[in-house]
Amino acid sequence: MRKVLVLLTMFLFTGVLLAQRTITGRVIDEKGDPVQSASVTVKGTLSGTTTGENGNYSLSVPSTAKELVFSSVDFEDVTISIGSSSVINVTLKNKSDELTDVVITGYTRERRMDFVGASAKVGSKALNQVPNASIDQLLQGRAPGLYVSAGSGQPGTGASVIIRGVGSISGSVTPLYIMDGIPIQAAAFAALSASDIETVDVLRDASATAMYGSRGANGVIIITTKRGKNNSKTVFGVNSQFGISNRTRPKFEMMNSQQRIQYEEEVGMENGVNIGPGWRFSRNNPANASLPQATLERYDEIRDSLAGKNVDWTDIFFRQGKFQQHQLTASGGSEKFAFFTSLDYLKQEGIAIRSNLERYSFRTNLDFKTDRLSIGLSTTINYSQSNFIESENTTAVSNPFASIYYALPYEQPFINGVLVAANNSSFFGNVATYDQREGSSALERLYSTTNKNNEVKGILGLNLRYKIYDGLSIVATGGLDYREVMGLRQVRPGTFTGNQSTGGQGSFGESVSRFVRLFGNAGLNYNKVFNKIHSVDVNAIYENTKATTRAFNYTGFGVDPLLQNSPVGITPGSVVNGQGQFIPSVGGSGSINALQSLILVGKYVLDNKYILNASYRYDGSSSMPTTNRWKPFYSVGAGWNAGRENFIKNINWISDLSVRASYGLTASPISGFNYLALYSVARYAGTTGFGLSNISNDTYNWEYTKAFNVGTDFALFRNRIRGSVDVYNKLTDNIFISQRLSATAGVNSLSINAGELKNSGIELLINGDVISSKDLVWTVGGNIAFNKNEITNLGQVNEFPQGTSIIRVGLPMGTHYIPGWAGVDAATGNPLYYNLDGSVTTTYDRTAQSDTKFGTYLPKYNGGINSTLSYKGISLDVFFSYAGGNKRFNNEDYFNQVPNFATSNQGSAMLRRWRKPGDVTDIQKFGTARNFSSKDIQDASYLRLRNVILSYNIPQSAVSKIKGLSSIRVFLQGQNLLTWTRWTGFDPEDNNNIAQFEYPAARTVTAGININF
Amino acid sequence: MKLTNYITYTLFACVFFSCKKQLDLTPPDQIIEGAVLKDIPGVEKALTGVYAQLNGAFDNEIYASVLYSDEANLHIENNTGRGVNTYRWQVDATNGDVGAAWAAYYFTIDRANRVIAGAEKLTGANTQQENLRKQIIGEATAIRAYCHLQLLINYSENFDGGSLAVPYMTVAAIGQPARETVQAVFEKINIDLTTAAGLIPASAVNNNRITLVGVNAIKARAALYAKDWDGAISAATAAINAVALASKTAYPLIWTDNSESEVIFKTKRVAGQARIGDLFYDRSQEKIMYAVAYEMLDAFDEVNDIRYASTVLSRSTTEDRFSIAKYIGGDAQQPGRADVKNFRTAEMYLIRAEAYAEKTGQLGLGINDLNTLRSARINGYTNATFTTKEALIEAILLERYKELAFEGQRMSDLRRHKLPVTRIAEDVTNALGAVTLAITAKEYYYPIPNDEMQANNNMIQNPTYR
Repeated sequence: MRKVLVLLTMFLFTGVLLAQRTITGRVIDEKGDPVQSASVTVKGTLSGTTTGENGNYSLSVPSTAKELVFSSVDFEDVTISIGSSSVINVTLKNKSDELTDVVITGYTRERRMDFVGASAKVGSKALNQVPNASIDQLLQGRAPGLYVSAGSGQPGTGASVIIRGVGSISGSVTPLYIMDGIPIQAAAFAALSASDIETVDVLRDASATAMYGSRGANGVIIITTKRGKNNSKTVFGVNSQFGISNRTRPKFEMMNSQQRIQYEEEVGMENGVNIGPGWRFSRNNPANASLPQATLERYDEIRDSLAGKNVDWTDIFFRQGKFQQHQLTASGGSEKFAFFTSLDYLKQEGIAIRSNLERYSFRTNLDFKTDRLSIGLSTTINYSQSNFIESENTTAVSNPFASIYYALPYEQPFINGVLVAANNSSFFGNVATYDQREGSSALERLYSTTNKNNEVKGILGLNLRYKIYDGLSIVATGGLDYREVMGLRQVRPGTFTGNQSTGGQGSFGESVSRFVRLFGNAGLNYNKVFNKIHSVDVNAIYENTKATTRAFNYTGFGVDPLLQNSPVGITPGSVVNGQGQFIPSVGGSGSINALQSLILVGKYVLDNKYILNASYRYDGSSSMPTTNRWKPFYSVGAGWNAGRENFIKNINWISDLSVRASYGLTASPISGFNYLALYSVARYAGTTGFGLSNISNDTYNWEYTKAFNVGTDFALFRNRIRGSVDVYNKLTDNIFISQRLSATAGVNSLSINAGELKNSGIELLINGDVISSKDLVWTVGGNIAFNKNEITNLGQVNEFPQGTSIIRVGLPMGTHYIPGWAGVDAATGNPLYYNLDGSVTTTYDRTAQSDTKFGTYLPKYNGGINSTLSYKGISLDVFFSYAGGNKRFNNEDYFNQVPNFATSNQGSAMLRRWRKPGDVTDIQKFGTARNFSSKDIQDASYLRLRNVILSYNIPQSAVSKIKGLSSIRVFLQGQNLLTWTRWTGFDPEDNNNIAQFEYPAARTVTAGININF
Repeated sequence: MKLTNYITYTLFACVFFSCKKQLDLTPPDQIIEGAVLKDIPGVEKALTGVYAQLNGAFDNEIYASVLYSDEANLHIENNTGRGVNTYRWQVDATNGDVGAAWAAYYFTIDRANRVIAGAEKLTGANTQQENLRKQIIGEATAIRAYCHLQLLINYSENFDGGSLAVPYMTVAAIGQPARETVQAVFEKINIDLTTAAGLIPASAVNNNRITLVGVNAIKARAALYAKDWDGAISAATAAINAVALASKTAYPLIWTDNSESEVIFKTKRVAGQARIGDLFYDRSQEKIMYAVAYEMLDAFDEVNDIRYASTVLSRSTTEDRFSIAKYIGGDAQQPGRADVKNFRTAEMYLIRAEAYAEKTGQLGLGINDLNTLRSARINGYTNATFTTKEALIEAILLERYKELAFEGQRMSDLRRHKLPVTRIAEDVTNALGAVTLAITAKEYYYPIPNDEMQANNNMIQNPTYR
């Protein structure tokens, strides 16, 4: 500090020695208000001054000085040449970077500098025109502290999103989504277009989430869609892209036909087990010993013929998926009105045959503004249609992702042009097959069934603000989130699968599920600045939410082949000779819940430097027993914009700096009526009765999260480096523990509020301009979040084993709990397991041997890395996402090695199994029980090249030659191009702890064009 | 501007005047327990709920017994892995096939206890209502006894009186009850059955539900396992006298659910409910999961024994595809859907025959019962003679193997006589060495399910799994 002053004095003194003159002037902002403490320096020197309270300055400059630089924290730098003038007045423009952005919290809009919460913003660049149809998946790696993992590559599938670690054991861990002020359903984004989104704000700490009270504990994701600008000319945009999707390959190998035949024979010889024709037709098979020579020769031919066939099942079930997306937009505004409207069409084929998504998204956002009244209307109506594969994400044979591995390599699905399925060869003309027809059956099932969803999704939001008088306004928001999904399930008559239906003539079923959430709030806002330095902003709001769901389904049988696509083709049910004929099945369900709230949000800012935020919310929920129905939630936060203090301003390398801290109480959302003892319909012998479905719990309560956050935002070296650091500690208590009960209690488990869980961590976000010249700009950035999750209390007990995982005090959630694998006994070929004392045994006892040292499926750290390199109109955006420290069960490996499935194809790893004493191998003797052990747990850490875009903005000079055009951009884009991982299954990314032939993420490449006129 | 004011005030009014009652919601498709158990019609519906819970419990036992014993073999077409570990006796406490019956029966018991407690608080407005109330308590009490009996049969460490059986639950409660002895459980079963017999009217004859005959049948089975020969004889006699054996023409119709002959109690399956046949035959792939054992085929007189055709369905003329016929069912539109027969008169004859054989000096009566049953089933049957108790009991055991094939009894029959499971060579092609299960083998008895062990600190595991 002193050094700087000395230097300054020296320079000033030098100035005196040279010829010098005085320049005066005033610095104002865009509104005409004076900017105080703005720095005024002579370019290329450290010589300068700062403006006073009224924005005035006076500076002596040497005669050699050519230009003056004006800079201030919230404004863009301005450089002005001095010339001969002695008075220079300057208007500074507000700058928009991470520190001065607006944070939208749903109830308020805050300047980033006035907001003390931990939040991150994802801009439209990361969201628009990415070839992935689900908005939540696009957030992967884009914001610190946000862990996004998709469980399926079916186009449009929602992702699991976790903010700052898992905060519940059995309850909801899903964040709350708010779109333009209206709460919307999580994981239901298939119908919504991400190209309409302007920004996504991810709110992570209590000062932001406590405003949402009993729904805020898992974080809040605020989606803001694009709006028109007042006083702007109408701009039309056409955005199109086309592309293809391909499958990524797993790291395991299956046997080819030759290996398979050999394997079958070996297993027959070694174990006497018949797992296929390799043994059945073997000369070594004692059952064939007495057969005539001619028969044996015929058997040899069969074996050779089978060994010579190699069917590539991947070619049969997979394809190159086509992708296209087209968007038309128009936006603009007059003095009072502004509008944004878009029509988006997307069609994406999945990499598995039949799966796809096709959708139409319409959006119109209107704004009306007068001096006192402003109304914003946001509307979107979307229609989508999805086709699904059979048995998605299961280990069933009919799941194509499983059957390509189960199917034997010599199984030919088509024989003389006819698809021969299952063992019912008679159905297909008595063709003899020696295999299990697994792939063929799955294929037949895909061909003869339909699994389709039609979805209509609408979101309507109205925001209203009316200024009553000086600083006091009425604010109100109302809206509707609506989703109706109509499912269609057809089994075509006259097909093999159709023969399995009731009555043997196919089936036709439809289901309708409707979700409606009505939302409304209204209140007062008081916003005023006293004495120029005391800024006050208070909201008092009353809110009401009511959500209902309704579902209905039917399945009819006896479908007429000529009317198989309509319910009129169904044969009505009847009773003939006391036997029901084609009796249709009917079902349905419904749910309801309501939330009432009183919300107080207040903010006080002193001199733009010292900030105090506070919120209080009183929530009443229909999901709580009367004793716990109404509960308060709150937060307090404070911030200091140190960058505005003169002593920081004088440190040249710090462009801006703020520190902030917050503490608050929230809860995670609960719906339903779990506190009541309930009976559900239970039918017996045609009579309707009621059976117990839930046992009562009078002490049922919220899961409360107390969260503390401290963070800093900084900009260094003239904003070349920008970033933030947040450290948090989140303690959730009252956590529901699904306490396993003795079956004698009549239910398996009871949810009791007894647990305590801690999430603590650190999140870093940093972006830097590596090169920042006029033509060439290279920005590199990244974020990383470390989260430590620990169960700290479980009430009366210390642990709850849950299948292959355990909930234990001192361990993180998702900890695997399974016996340790100790390899294969070289002498006997038996599998070996570790006892807890470290000794090795051949017995497998999950109760006594299960250990907790094999990790958890939740990552220790995750984040993203981004780089943007632009040269003139060309720019290259590269984005990686990663997660690390997570371990998952690889059930794919398990299935491919378990002798119980030996009649299906197996991994080529089985060829190195133990066969004779002395064999040292990791694959146990055929026929020994293949148990679940730590052998099947693998490291699922990954680094994925998530997105690459190479784009070119055609120069303005060329564009403007065509009348009416204002810009043209062309691009090439790649999604999921590369993945680095040690995981051997399909896809390391998944939303649970086990890999079970999930639909993997596709690798998609697209090319597109954006035209504005 | 007036319009917007109006909108604003309306919005305010909407929000503020919505009453607090809005939070007093109840689920749209469930009912609060108090509303169900508030009157006799409600309790009657809850009893239907008890039967609904019971429906399917026995399937678990049947499946486990078929896989475990010598009734079936693992067919090469079974590519699903379903039940394979169980068939190969690669069993531990986490095995779901042998563990499923545990929770199924205890859940039923809990619901029965809720019905009993609910009904006991009520009084009928008239005699008819009062009698209905008593019948409800009677049926629920009988179900409670039946479920405990099946739990004892499946999960006891063995059937000696002092050995550990299962906890006997008489109230719906969350707890960690300890195992009671075999003898103690039998005593409680008998008390419940006596109570039930006093409450169920003789006029109740629907064999989808537990009737007085049903109570006697439960009593007879319990007495057999308790080695209470007199009790077995008297209860079986009562059941036999009430429900006669099926005629030779009626017998096949039992399995297509077209005849109620000799069916004392069955759990009814209606359209859309679980099909027991699916356990052994995969309809979607038309593949046999578990086939009738060659040992079973060998045991039958294919030509004269009318049971053969109702037990074995040969699906191919060229290959060995012997499906279990008992669960094909009678609905051509829904193959595999069949009522599950919990008690038949044939079993009563076999119980009584065995009880007579065990009683000194009543060998002749036992031989009579066996011959009566055989002549009802076998064309041209000539009465057999037995000179020793052992020979008769051996013949009864073989007869049970054939008569009660795939009806969930085989494994417990072997355990009751402390006999090993032996499979013949043709049946063990895919058994991976699971040929003989000695009575000393770890897996001979079922383990107490791991879930129960983890949840109940007072639960003691069966000896070989400790």
